[in-house]
Amino acid sequence: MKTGRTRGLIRRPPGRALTLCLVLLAAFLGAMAARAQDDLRCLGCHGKPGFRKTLPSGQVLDLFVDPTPLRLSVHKDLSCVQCHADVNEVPHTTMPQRVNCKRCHYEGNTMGAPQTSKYLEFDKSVHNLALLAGNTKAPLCQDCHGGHFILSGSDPRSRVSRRHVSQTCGTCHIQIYGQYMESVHGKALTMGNKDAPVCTDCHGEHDIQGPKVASSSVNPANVANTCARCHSKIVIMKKYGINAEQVSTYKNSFHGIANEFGVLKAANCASCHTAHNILPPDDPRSSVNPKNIPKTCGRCHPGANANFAKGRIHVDPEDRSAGIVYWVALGFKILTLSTLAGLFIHIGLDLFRQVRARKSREAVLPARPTEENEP
Amino acid sequence: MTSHSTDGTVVRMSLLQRLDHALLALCLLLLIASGLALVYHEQAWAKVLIGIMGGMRGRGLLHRAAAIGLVFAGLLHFGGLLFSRKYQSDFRAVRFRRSDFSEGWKGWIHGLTGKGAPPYYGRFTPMQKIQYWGIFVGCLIMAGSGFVLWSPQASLALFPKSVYDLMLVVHSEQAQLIFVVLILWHLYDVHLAGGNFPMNPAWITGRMGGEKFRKRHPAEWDAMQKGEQE
Repeated sequence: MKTGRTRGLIRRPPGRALTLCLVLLAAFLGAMAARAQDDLRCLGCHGKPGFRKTLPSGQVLDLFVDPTPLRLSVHKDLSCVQCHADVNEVPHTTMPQRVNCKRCHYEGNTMGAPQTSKYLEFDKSVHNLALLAGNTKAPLCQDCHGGHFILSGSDPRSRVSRRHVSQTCGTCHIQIYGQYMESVHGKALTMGNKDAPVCTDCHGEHDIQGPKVASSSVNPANVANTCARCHSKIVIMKKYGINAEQVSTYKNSFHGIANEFGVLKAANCASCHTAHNILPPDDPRSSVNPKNIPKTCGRCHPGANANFAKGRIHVDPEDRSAGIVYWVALGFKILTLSTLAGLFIHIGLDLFRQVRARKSREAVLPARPTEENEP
Repeated sequence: MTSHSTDGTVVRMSLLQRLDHALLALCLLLLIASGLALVYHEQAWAKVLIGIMGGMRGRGLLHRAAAIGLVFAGLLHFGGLLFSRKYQSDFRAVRFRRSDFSEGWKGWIHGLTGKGAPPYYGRFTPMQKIQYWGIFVGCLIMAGSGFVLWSPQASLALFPKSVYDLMLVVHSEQAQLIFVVLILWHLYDVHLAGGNFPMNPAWITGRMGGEKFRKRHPAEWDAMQKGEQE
């Protein structure tokens, strides 16, 4: 015996849901086919190794595109023209412009790009300001993130991952990259040390600003706080045998206080340790090696001699390692506090004496004048 | 030398002493304000003070100008000691004597318990002597260490940095001791305590009421009476 339900299934034509699925699949396959068709058209030329063009200036542009990296990137589902949106005829009658990532990358987009306001930070960066000023060498998004092989920053293979970002910056900032890689920070990075600062830790990412901008993390007024992000952390510094008090000793020094109150010519961390070529003091090439200290100090203090290196640079009078400075400070503190205690006892006694004198006056001689002091 | 006046007051400070005292007070106040603002630079009041002084440059200039004023007050003091009889007489009186300990002790006991004889103080009480010598030695240390700190380049041409660091800690710690001794203790002891509020006018007029003087400095009073009788 057949139930009504079974009968219904047999009798009814294919359901609406199934129809919808088939339509969607057809649309998807159609789109894929269209995309593949589009991409094939592009790759017809750009997929040929050695495809290049010589510009009137003599510059040779390598226009070969290997589609594999794109298919492994976060943009694997996009077709060529979704990014190269100004290309609408083949062969191109106009020179295709550089890709504008902001077509999709803005907060509130419906294209599936990450929802973040980071994109806007680029607008006020030194790189964008250079672009606006007409510098054609200034980087766009793709210069750092990559053109076709764009990966998430958390992917170790990404050009903007911690491991590779310095190298990426070094593409343009070659000399600084060389100095950085020689520095204690660069060497630590090479060794795979995750604490090692990379360019973006000090300079920022999208909002990189020139050192002359007051809000820049590498403006002379902010350098100490930027270094302090790591150098005041005991947990990190302890691993490398570095004193985490270096920041506070600087901030309490003449240099640090002057800097705090806006005297930006006063030395900051980078003035002595350099910005990129930071080396430990026992390295003979280091700007803070005792042999080089007269030269380093001499940049601001003309005529600086070897005496500048005779003694500690970061002195903490509250730490025993400061030696005689610690003991003298301690002695003075004890003396000052004892004097203060003496003063309180003096005032207490004085008040006590006055209260007692008043009581005895009230009892015996109500009209007796108050006892007074004088210089 | 302390002498009677026709109106029953006692001359306590000569004109030169008052000028010296006023200059010393002004310079020390400026030095302490501009110096402690640097030591306590993280405090809100210090930021306000440095702002009032015109920032770090103004603060530095004010501190150095006041330092020159302090040195001048010191030179005035030494000049007085060489050429003024009042200075010389006061200097002899301000030296510590064995009786300062015994009379000081008596003063404590009398103040604390009300028992025993009141202290028989001379021209200067032991407390005033401590304050004088504290400031005397303190100012010499401040001037010496201050000149080392004045120009790091000039100082480090002569001394190693460790000496500079030592002078820095001596200078800033001694300043705080002077602040306690002078601003707190001396101001309280001389200008605020015992009915002198808001201040003892002797530093301006140079004179002190005879009755007050007799009670506070009985030994000196008796010596004056004896001198007059002779």
